[in-house]
Amino acid sequence: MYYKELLKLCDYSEDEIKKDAPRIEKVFKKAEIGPEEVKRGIERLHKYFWMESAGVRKVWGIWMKQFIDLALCKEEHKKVVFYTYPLEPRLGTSINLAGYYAATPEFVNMFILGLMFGIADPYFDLAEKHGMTPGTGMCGANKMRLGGFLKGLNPMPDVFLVSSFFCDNEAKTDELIGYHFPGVPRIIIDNCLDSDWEAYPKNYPNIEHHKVKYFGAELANVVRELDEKYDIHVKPEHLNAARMEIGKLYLGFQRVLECQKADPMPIANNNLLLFYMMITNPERRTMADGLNAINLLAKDAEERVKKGIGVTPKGAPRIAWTMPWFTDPAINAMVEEVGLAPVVAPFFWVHPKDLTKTDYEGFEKTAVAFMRMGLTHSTSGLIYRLTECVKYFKLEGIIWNGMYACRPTGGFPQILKKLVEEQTGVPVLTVETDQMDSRDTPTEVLRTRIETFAEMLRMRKAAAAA
Amino acid sequence: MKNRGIQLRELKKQGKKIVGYFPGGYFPEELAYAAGAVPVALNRGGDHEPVEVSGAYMSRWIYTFGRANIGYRILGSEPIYNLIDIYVVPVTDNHVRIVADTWDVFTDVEVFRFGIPHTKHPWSVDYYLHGITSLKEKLESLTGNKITDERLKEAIQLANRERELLTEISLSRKSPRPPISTRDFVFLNHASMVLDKSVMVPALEEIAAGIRGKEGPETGKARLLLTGTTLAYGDYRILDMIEAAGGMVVIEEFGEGIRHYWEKVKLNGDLMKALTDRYYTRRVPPAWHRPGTERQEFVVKLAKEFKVQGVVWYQMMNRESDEFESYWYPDILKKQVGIPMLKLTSDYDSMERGPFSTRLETFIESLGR
Repeated sequence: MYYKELLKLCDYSEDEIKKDAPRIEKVFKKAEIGPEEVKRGIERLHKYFWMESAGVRKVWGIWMKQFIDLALCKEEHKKVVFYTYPLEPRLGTSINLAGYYAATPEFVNMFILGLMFGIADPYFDLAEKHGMTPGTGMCGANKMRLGGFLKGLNPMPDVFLVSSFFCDNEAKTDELIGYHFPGVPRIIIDNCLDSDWEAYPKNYPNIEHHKVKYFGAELANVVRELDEKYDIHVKPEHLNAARMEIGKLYLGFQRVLECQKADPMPIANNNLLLFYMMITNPERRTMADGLNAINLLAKDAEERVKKGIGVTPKGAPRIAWTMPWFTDPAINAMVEEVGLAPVVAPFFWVHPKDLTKTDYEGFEKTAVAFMRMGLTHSTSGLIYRLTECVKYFKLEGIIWNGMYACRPTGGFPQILKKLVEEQTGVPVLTVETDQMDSRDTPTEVLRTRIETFAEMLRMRKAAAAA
Repeated sequence: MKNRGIQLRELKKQGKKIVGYFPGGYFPEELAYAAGAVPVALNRGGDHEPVEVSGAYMSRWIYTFGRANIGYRILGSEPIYNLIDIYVVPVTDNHVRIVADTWDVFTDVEVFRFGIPHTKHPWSVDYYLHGITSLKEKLESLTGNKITDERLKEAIQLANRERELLTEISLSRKSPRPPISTRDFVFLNHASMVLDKSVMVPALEEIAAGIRGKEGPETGKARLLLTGTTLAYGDYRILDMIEAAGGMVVIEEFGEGIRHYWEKVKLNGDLMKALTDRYYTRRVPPAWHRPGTERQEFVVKLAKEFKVQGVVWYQMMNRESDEFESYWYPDILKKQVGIPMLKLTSDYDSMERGPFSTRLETFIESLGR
């Protein structure tokens, strides 16, 4: 059992390893994960992650179990639904709670194949050879999605839910998948990011009524179509339960983020990433063990805060690192190496006003919750949230590494820099990168820019203190 | 067309409101006419300088036409871009959304947006209707004029006549010896998005009468369909290069930059619903629509009806919806029409000329006439 040490590191019990061995071996063979890859994985976990934390070990266990489940889902479940990130998380969870299998393959693959083993590149290469032309700004996550099917690692689902309400690239990737693998039906979930510039900042936490009605109708349509066409029955009680479960995860995680307010900062961003994506992309294993992992991490972090232990020196400039890398932990670690404290990735922070009650019910209520996140509403919504995050965490700088291939979040760095600097007085460094596909990141060029930014922030801080 | 800037300046002095709009085909000009305003498309393209200038305002991964759109405004080289009182942007995808954002933040022009749903569900129709109803209210408050049913009906009738004439002229290219070149037709189409309809409709009447029943010279050139992302006003290099390479475009289909003239607005019943029916429900949507089947079927139909021997796909750099579709179109065209496709990707860069010419010459030669 060449993988035993690795799985134990990921909080598997002896019994679990024994019981799951046939499944694990089957999937590792499919994914070409042999002893050499496992050895590398163990090294990477120790080098880049806080493996002493029970919470981090548990969350890695959740990701690993999801990886195994995903590759075998067609053999083990009667009905399988795949959706694209960011599916409204309450919808995906309600399908799982109703007893069917629902998942987002690309993120599970990226974390295990990329972040853990560093063997994600062939999947990107394969997608590029099959319609996702390199150099044209194709999203790395979508390349992984297509690559997973082309490689034969992920089976075809019974139905795709297409997140067409945020990103154009995702919907078209699913059309491309349909071209390569005809016959799998798709339910498209739409929305229009068409609000007036002032709408979000002026109305938040309220959302324009016509938008709530439209997106609510689109979400309700998914459940209707699943029921009528695909024999998948999701009831209102599943949605309500999903809402409760997601709420617990989000709020539980805020306890962790509260610890990040401390100086020195207790948790390195690589670890937070595992939780960010688990919460926004919850699957069956998250429902079972996610809150437990969060609570364990919070406990470990609180202990560190109490003892004044941090992963960066006390006084390190506090920044928002907009989006950590999904396939290369070395890049995320670099931020802390240059002496910056990346306390939060703003998209995953819950603004206190997000919890404001609404009069909407059912999917309209869900639509409100989703669009309140800002980035899923408008550019001005995203910028508003970022400025609020600066205030809440008393940030001293922002590295806006908005993914260049992500038009909804990466298409307007100039606007963001101008407005955030004007409104908060905090410097913003914008860098053009692809967090999903680290082949597209010139690491040392990035290091030079981040080092210079860190130096500038330290000088600024020193000048202010003087 | 050359004097349109001067005319608009004069109209503005007289108190007329100039309504700029993004040329994606979802702005019902009839509303602007009925409000007594002057609609003009911000549809210029084909120059590299505006694209370069845009680098200070938006990501280089936004598609070429979108980047040029803010670039022309910043450069001040296109008078119309600096004369508008409001910019109406029907938001079709994230590229166009960011064009609107950029105008919002970096210019003093008021931007009015409304979203175009990417699917055709029954409630999507309501969403579009809500969007143009808000637009109607906005135009009324901008101009101080009430859009009455009577005025709207008149505007629709005029616009319908323009569509009829463009359709008639376009269909004349089905002939083995088309009496009008596509270069000229595209120019007329573009002019119809900038000039007043009271000028445009009589001009089109005259042109239609002039070519009715006539045929052009025998050229022996390969008949081609030109499709892709955007064919903007001034971006005629692609047509000239095809011509020079021995090809003849006989029909074009673009999601942007070209007026979609095939359908008329039905005049029975509620006029706002009639506009929704024409502009949203029956409009063949571009590549950003999900799925893109409707447009694929339309392109196949055009290819058959206009008896083309090949398709040239003119792609704006980084518009990924089109980029995706360009991958499976060759297969569809081969299977359903038996013709090949050539894809050219443009960033309005003069460096493209050499490679484009070579590839076009080879493609047209390979058609084996």
